[in-house]
Amino acid sequence: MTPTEPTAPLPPTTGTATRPRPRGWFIPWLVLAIAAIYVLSVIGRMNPPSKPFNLESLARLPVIDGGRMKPLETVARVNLRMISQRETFVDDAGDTQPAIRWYLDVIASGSKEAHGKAWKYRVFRIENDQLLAELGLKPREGLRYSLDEIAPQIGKLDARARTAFRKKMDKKPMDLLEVKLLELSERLELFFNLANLTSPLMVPPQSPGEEWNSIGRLRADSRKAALVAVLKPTQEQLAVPERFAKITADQRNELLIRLGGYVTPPMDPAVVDRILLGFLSEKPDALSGNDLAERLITLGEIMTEQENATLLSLASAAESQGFAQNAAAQQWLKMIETFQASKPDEFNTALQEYRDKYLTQVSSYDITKTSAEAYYNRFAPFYICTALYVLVFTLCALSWLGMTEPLRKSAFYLLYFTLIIHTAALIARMYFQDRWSVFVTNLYSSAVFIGWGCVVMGLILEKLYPIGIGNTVAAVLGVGTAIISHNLGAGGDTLEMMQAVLDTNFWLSTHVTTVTFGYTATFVAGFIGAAYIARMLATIIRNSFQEPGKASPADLLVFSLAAFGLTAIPVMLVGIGLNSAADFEVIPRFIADILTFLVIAAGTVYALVLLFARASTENLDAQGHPITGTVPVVARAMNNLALDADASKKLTQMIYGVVCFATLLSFVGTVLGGIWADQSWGRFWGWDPKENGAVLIVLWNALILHARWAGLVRDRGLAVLAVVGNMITAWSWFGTNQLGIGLHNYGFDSRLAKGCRYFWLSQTAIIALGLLPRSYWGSSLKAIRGTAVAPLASGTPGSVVQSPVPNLSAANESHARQTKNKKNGKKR
Amino acid sequence: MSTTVETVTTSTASGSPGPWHYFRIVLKTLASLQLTVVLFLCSIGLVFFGTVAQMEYGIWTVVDQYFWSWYVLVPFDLFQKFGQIFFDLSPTEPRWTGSFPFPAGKLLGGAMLVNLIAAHMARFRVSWKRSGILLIHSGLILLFVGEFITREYAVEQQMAINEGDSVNYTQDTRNYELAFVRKTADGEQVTVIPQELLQNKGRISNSELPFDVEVVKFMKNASFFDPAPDLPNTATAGAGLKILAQEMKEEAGVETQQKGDIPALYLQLFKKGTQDSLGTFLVTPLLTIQGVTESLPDGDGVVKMSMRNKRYYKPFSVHLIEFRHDKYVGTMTPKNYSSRVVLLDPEEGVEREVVISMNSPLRYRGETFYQADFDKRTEKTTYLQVVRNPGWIIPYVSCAVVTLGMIVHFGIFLTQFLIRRAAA
Repeated sequence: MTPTEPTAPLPPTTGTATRPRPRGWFIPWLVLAIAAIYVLSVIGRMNPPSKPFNLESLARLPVIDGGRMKPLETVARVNLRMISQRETFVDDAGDTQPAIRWYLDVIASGSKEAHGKAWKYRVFRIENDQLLAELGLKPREGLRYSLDEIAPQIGKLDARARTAFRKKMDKKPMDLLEVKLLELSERLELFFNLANLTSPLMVPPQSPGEEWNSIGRLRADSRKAALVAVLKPTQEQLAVPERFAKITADQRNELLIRLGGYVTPPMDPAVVDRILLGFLSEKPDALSGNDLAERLITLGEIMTEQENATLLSLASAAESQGFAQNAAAQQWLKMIETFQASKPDEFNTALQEYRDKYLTQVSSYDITKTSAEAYYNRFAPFYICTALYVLVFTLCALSWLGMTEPLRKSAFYLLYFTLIIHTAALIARMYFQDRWSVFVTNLYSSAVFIGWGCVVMGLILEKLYPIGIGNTVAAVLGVGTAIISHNLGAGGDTLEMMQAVLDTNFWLSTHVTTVTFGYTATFVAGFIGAAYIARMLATIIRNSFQEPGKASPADLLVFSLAAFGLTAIPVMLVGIGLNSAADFEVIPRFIADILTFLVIAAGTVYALVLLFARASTENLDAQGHPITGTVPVVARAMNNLALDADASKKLTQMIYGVVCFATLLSFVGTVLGGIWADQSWGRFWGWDPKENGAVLIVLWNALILHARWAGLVRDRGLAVLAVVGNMITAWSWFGTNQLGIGLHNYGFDSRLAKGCRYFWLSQTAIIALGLLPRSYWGSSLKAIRGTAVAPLASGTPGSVVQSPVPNLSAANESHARQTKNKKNGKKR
Repeated sequence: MSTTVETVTTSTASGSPGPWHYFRIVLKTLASLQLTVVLFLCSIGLVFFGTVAQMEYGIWTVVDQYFWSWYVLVPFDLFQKFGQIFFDLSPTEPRWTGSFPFPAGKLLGGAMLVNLIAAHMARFRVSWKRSGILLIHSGLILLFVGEFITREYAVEQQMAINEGDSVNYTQDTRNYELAFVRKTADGEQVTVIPQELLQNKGRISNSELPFDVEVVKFMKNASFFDPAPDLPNTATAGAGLKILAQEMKEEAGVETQQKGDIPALYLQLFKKGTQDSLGTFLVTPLLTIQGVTESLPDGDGVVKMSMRNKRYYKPFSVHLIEFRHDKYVGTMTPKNYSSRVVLLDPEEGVEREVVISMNSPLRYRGETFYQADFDKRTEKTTYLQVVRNPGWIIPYVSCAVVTLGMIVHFGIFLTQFLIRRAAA
């Protein structure tokens, strides 16, 4: 490790002019400038076009969807994301267009027969090969298909979709094709709900007390009212005895079959009369729209033309009443018509008119809020944060290779910068939901919040211990949680409304926030533990090169484990990053695959080179006596990474401190959850999987602390236990949620379960590597090992004094004790 | 205890091991931190097993087996289930058989308590530095006690009220009774036979009862069929002629949702003190819910017989003014459930209006009323969960104590650390 300045990371403000500037002083500022330019460039090009059609203004119109007022832009983006897994689309001219444009084309696409423009856009993502084959489609880059391509084939699968739906309702296991088929039919439903304007509620109230409504609903109500208005007099007219008597026997049979579904009509004329009169006295309002129309047609067929003409005039009179009278809805139709007719000026005027006239019942607070949400969507703060965290990670990785201090500082400043954006985004989400101090409302927001917490903790740790570890952990967890949240956010609006029992700001802001902070702290401790183990592996490599004499097979085995293990860590991180980038279509899949292959190959080659270098080195002098060897150039980075007494002590202190914090937070959080449960259903503790998950974290952190106090573990042991904490937290965060799903449905989209599995496997590998024998790396810590015992642990239940510690000689132990006692004495 | 003190002095003075010496060895072993760590490890295992086991069994069965017994036989197929979800094991593979014993909640909880108390006996020192630890541990002991009290003494019942009605009793949703109700001039006269008596065959006669009752067959859980010519029917009178009950395996605990068992009872009624049979009847809560009761002539009036949930009458009554089920605009997502009720207690002279909603229960006379459920069809009937838990306050206190303890303990060391760092 290059020694770091003992002073605070920021240089003192006075006297800088006289002091020579350290090498690379400008790098942090350069990095910040690049980040600032990046953010500004995003702001510069984030708005949808306002010409020729003013999409920018349209996108900010308030509507209600999912029980929440939001800008139309959110509706467009969320629906497109659910259908297409991205928030933009490529139009028929090959240009990338914003979601709002797609939405406008969808609502202007007219009836199902019209096959409007939106039917030609390739937006429906179908990933399953089998389903594609069934639909007669060929896999293509992006796997997106247009409605025109899907619609002719989908009818064939109707029966199977129905079976699948029934299975889902009965909670029976489905096969993969059925799951994917249901998914597609749900996406089609989303599309048609938008197209026929049944969702969202876009017609605002025009007087106090009125409610928001959807155009589709208004139209259906109006249509129904018209049908009722006709059917009622029709029935009454037919029920009049003279008219009723005129219905012929054939007509009677027809009516029985079509209205009553009689297969063989009863023969007794008296019974027939009674049944028919029964139908005619039914109240039309109670029938559904389709039944109404059906009945009207049936009855219309037995009426004379003249009778029908009079009745139909009633219909048009009724139809002009409801929907046609709703000026706001008509204004929407006007906008849609002008758009269809490509009359941008008229469209823009109609839009402005709508804004001026029909939003009077929407408070200006809500208008501002929805506008703000639209800007938030366009800015996509978490996307930016992810990019910046990737940059921080790159800086951290480079800092281990050289230019350590300037790069560490750059990473530190850049983290601060990114944290500001991240924090602002969290606050904006609270504002949109009107839930101040509530950070977490669903799994998505928990991921976003955990990422934030990790960065905050990483920065604090970096401030306390400026050795680059806090930065690295913050960056890795920042990117990791961003990937997780991006996956979780694919399923719909991330600002969803809370179910009744969860709708309480007090408990959301206390219990949920604390318990999530508990997760955060446990993860941070675990990742520092992993960093400790990584540096331990580097120590093994370096020490092995310096070890006098020829390497034994056992030495080489440990060496190769360390070499491959250490290279695997960055390779794995980069691999996950590339794979996610391909998933989210930041880079094409084949490029990601090639890069992943190259990274894996490079890692493997590097590990092999190290192994070869070690195997071919015989640290013997000319006479064949063992001498201390030198670290070859290829392994130079190991000098930076290897642990020494000081680094080991600092890392141990960091882990210990964070675990204490995690214990406190997870305990308080869990208990607050218990109190909430007692408040809402009278049971303090219900042994629910999620509760159990939280208590596991508490127990594990308590175990780490007690094992530390008992002297069962010290530096390395603490690190290994902290890594186990990662596995437990992942179980609690996501694993427990899978149980409920797994109970009923094995065919469920199991991405989270898969994520858990790979995470657990990776952590198990790290733990296994962390158990490599101390004799291969412990010597580097020997210089002042006594003080390497975390001084924070003094004063806890007379532990170290009481129990013998494995791995340490008695002399060392007594030394440790003396140092400790001296220290304690000094403090008192 | 002066003798003990003497023993200590002698044993330390002479060096010969006395009983006190062995006591100390035992105490030290019991108090050891290594034991604490092992107990933590076992608890983690237990909680994990108890979580995965809930995939197969209902929460109450799991709580009984894993958390409220001394030991538990953990089946190996638990791991299979876990593997099926997380490690792509085939769901069609034959089930893994066998199980292994594992210490359960009572044993681990007890051991932890002993370990904790022993630790304080063996290493008891009062200093401001240890005040945090002391607080944490005493809070935890309190938590154990609280859980014990809840488990042993808490009673859960249900109160169902229709809009506009007043109800002065709660129901035990898991126990039933046979009720005879006779209308009198000033109300109702109710005589009940509790479930315990109905489970034994034989004749029940009591001066309060209008008839002698002979239990023909009691079924803890029954399924129901339409009668068919080839199926023998035990019932000879009443609703039992139109519906058949057949015994079924108990469902208790298998389902997480309290779908629960539906009991059924075939009984023969006799005129008091005679062998004159009035017929064999079928009674079951299923019929009672549907509003079917047996009307039996008795003297100059009519007695209605039905099997219903066991009731506990209260000295006060709750009148439901309105039940509300609010949804978010344009969605089916529930926003809130609440019951506006009037609490009427003539004894105490209480008459007040209260709104019971999710997250805001009513506490009255040692009982707590929670908004639990409602009639999904009419949305006019509310179900209140009624819990009497004498220890409800304990978790609150203990948690406050533990939290305070942790803040003190970690706070002390954090401050020291920061001071030391500033000095360095």
